[in-house]
Amino acid sequence: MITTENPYRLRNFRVVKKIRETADTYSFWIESDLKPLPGQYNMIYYFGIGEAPITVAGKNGNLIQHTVRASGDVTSHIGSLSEEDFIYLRGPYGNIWPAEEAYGKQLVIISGGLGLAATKWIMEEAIKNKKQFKGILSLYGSKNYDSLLYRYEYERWHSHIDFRITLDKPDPRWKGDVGLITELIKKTEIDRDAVVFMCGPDPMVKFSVIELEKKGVGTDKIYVSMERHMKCSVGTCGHCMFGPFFVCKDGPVFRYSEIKEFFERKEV
Amino acid sequence: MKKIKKTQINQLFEAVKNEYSVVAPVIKEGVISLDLITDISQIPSGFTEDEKGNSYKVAKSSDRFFSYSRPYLPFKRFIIPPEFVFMKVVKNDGRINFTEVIPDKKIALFDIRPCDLKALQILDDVFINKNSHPDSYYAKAREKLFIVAVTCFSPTENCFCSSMGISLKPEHGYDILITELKDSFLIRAGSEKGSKFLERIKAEEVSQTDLVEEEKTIKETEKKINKKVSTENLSQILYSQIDSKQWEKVGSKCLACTSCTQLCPTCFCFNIVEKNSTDGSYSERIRVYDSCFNPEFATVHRFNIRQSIASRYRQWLMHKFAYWTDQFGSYGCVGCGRCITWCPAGIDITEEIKKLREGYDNH
Amino acid sequence: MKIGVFKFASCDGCQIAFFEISKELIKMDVDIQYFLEAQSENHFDHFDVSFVEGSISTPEQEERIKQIREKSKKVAVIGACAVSGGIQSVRNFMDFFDVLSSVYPSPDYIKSLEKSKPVSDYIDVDYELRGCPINKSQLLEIISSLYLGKELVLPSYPLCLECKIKGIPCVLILGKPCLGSITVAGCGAICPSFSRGCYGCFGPIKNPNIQSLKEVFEDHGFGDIYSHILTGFNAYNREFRGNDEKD
Repeated sequence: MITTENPYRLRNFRVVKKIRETADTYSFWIESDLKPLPGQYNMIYYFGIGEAPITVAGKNGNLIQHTVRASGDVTSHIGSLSEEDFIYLRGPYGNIWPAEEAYGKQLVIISGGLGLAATKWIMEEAIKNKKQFKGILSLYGSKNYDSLLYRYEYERWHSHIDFRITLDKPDPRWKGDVGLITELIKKTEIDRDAVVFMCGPDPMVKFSVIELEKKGVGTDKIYVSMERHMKCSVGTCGHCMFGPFFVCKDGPVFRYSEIKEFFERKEV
Repeated sequence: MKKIKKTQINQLFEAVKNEYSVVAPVIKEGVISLDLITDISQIPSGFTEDEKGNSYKVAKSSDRFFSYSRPYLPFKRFIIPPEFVFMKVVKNDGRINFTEVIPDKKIALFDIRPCDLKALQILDDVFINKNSHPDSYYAKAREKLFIVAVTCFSPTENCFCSSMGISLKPEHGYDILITELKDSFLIRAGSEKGSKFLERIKAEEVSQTDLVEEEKTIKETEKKINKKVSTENLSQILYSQIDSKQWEKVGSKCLACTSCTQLCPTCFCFNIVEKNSTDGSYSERIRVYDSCFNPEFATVHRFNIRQSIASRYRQWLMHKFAYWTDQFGSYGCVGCGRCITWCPAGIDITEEIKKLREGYDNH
Repeated sequence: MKIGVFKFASCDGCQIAFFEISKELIKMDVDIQYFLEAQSENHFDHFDVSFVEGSISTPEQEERIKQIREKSKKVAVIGACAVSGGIQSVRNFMDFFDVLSSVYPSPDYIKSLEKSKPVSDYIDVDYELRGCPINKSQLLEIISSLYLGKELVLPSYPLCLECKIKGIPCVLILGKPCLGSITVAGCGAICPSFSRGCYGCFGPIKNPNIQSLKEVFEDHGFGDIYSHILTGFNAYNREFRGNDEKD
C-alpha cells in the first residue's frame, strides 16, 4: 500500500500585507506555517486561472513574502489580491542557495530585474550572519528607475553591505550608476575566490558569467537560479526540463559549471 | 507454474473479469488497439500486424491465440488517462473548496507484452519510486492494477526490444504470466494475487517437454527481431553529439506532429489546464497529455525556448537515451517500435541513433 | 457585456454557433447589440467585443471593418473566411479580371477588391477562431473568458495531438491523405474520428513543415492532391501565401 499525500493539494493562507513595489509588481506578506528556505519557491494558485511558481522573497517569523509581477494571466490575478484575502498555494519546492560555500569568502550577489526577489532573502540572511563572510557585495541591475524593487530597504542594506544599483537607462531622478550590470561587474572589485549567487534573465546571466570569469571567478563558484516553464513542480510534467535536469526539483539553483554546456547552447 | 488447455483461457479471463475491469487488445478502426472488454472473444486472435517502416496493415494469418503484437496504443492511458480531472474546485462566498479526485477503478491489463511491462516499471520510477513527491493519482491507479503478461512470440519488423535489454519472457512485474505453446498455455504466478487466481483453475502439471518447447519458441522468436539500437556508451555518445548536423536533417523531415510522444509507452509529459463553469463558481483542474513537440511546450514569458523542430526532436531523442539515464538510471525506451510505425514522416529512431553514433565514430 | 456579430464575404455558417450556445449566453448576461441574422432591432454604438465572420472582399467592407474596429474594445474574427480569406480567396491566385468576367456577364457593375483577404490584413485583431465552420465550444470559450476576466487559451499545436489524445489511429499511416500534422487543433478531430483525412479547415499551425508533408504525400502516391487541398479555405493564410505576399 502506497500512501502519499497528493502533491497538488493546495492550502490557503491569509494575506496580511500587500506592498505595491512598482506599477505592476506587488509584494504579499502571508501568514503561514510553511518552512521554506532561501532559494525555494511556492506554486501559487488562482481560482479558474491556474498556478505560477513564485520564489519566496523573504521570511519573518510566521510571515513569508512573495513578490509577483503581473505579467501573465495567473500573476495578474494574484496581483489583484488584497490584504485579508486568502491566497492558495502549495510548496515549498526546489533547492536552496548554498550559503556555507561562501563562508570565509566574499559573497557576491548579482540580481537583474525581478531576479532580486529570488536573491533578496539570502542577502538578508547573509547580512544577519555577516561575520561568516569575508565581505558581502550585492549588485542589482534594473531596466529603469520605475522598476526598482524594495526601494524602502536600500538605506538599511547600504548600512550593512556593499550594495550597488545600476539602471539600464538614465533617469533625471537617478544619481547612481547607469549601464548594464555587466559594466558594473567590470568596474567592481571581486575576489578571485568569491562565491557568486545570481538571478536574472538568461542573457544577463550569460554575459555576467563572462565578466566574472575574466576576474578569475571559477564557474564552479557561481550559482544561478533559473527560470523555466513549470506546471507540476515535482518533476513529472516535463515542461521545465533543461538537459538532464528538471529545473523545478533539481533547481532552481544550479552550480553554473554543471549547467554550462546546456545553458550556453541554444534551444536546449 | 501450471499448464492449461487452450480452451481454458476463458476460465482465467472470467476469473479476472469478476474482480477487475479488463483492458485488452481489440481490433478497432482497422488496427490492434486497446479497450475495455467483457468477453474473451473480443481479443483479436488470429490477426497479425504487418508493420514495415511507417506502414501498417492487419491481416488474419495465424492460428495462434496471441497472434498479434503489442497494441498500437500504450497501456499508460489506462493508468494516467490522456485527459482527466484531478481536482474539482468550488467557489462559495469568496472561499474555495478543493476536492481531490482519486481513481477508484480496479483494472486488469490483460495481455501486456514484455516491452510494455518494462515501460510500466519505468513509469513507476518516474511517478513514484524515484520521485520525492510521489504522484498520488498514479500510485492509487497503479495499486489497483492487476497485470496479466504474455510472453511475446509475435514481434513486428519495427520491434527492437531485445537490444533495449528486454527478454521475450518477462522475469517479474506481473501477477500472471501466460506463455502460449502449440497446444496449451503455461501459466505462472508472479505475485500472491496472481497465485490466488491460479488456484481456482483446474490445471495440469507442466512437463519437461513443455519447457523445452517454450525455450525453443523463445529462441526462434528472438531470431525474428532484427532491428536494434546499439546501447554501448550510448548516453555519453549522444551527449557528445548535441551539436550534430543530424538534428537539422531530421528536423527538416519531422512534422512535429507529436505522434511518437503520444504513442510512446514511457513518455509522461502532461499539461495542467483549468476548465471553468460559465458562471465562475466552479473550476476543474485537468491533466492532459502534452508533448515536447508542442510549439508552446517550453514557453517562458510567451516565448518557446525550443523554436526549431530540430531542437524539439533533439530534446525527445536525447531525453529517451541520454537525459533519462541521468534522471532515472535507465533508458526511456523499451524498443516497442510504435514511434517508427506511426511516424507520418517515416523517421526511424534506430536509424537516427545509428547516424549519431556514426558521427561520433567518424570524429 | 455588449456584443456585436458582423458578417462580410462568407456563408453565414459560423454565426450559427451563437444559436448553439444561446443557453450559456443567457447565463452570462450577454447583451447582443448587433446581430442581423438573429434580431430585427440592432444598434451600432459601441461593443465590448465584436465577432466578425467573413473575408474582406469589397471596398465597402474595407470601410465597414474599420468602423467596427473603432467601436469595439475587442475584435474576434471567426471562421476561415475572416481568419484566412476563405474559399473565395482562391481568386487571389488567378487573374482578377479573368475571374470577374467568367462569373459576371457585365463585370463593370461589380465593385470588388482584387483580392479576398483576412480581416487582420486591414485591422488589428484580438482573437482568432479557426475552422470552417468554427467550433462552438471555442466560441463559448472566448465569451466566457471575457466574462470571467481570463486570458483566452486555444491550442496552437497540430491536430495530431488531439487525435492521439482521443486515441484515433493515424489515418495518414493507414493510407489516407491528411493535413492534420500542419493544421491547428481545436475541431475535436472530427474527420479522423470518422476515418477520414483532415483537409485543413482549421488552417495552418505556426511554421508548418509544408515541404516535408508534401514529400510524405508523394511517397504515398496521393498525386497532386496536396496542392489542391492547400488551396482551400485557408489558401490565403499568411503561412501559405507565397513569400512575396507575406504582407
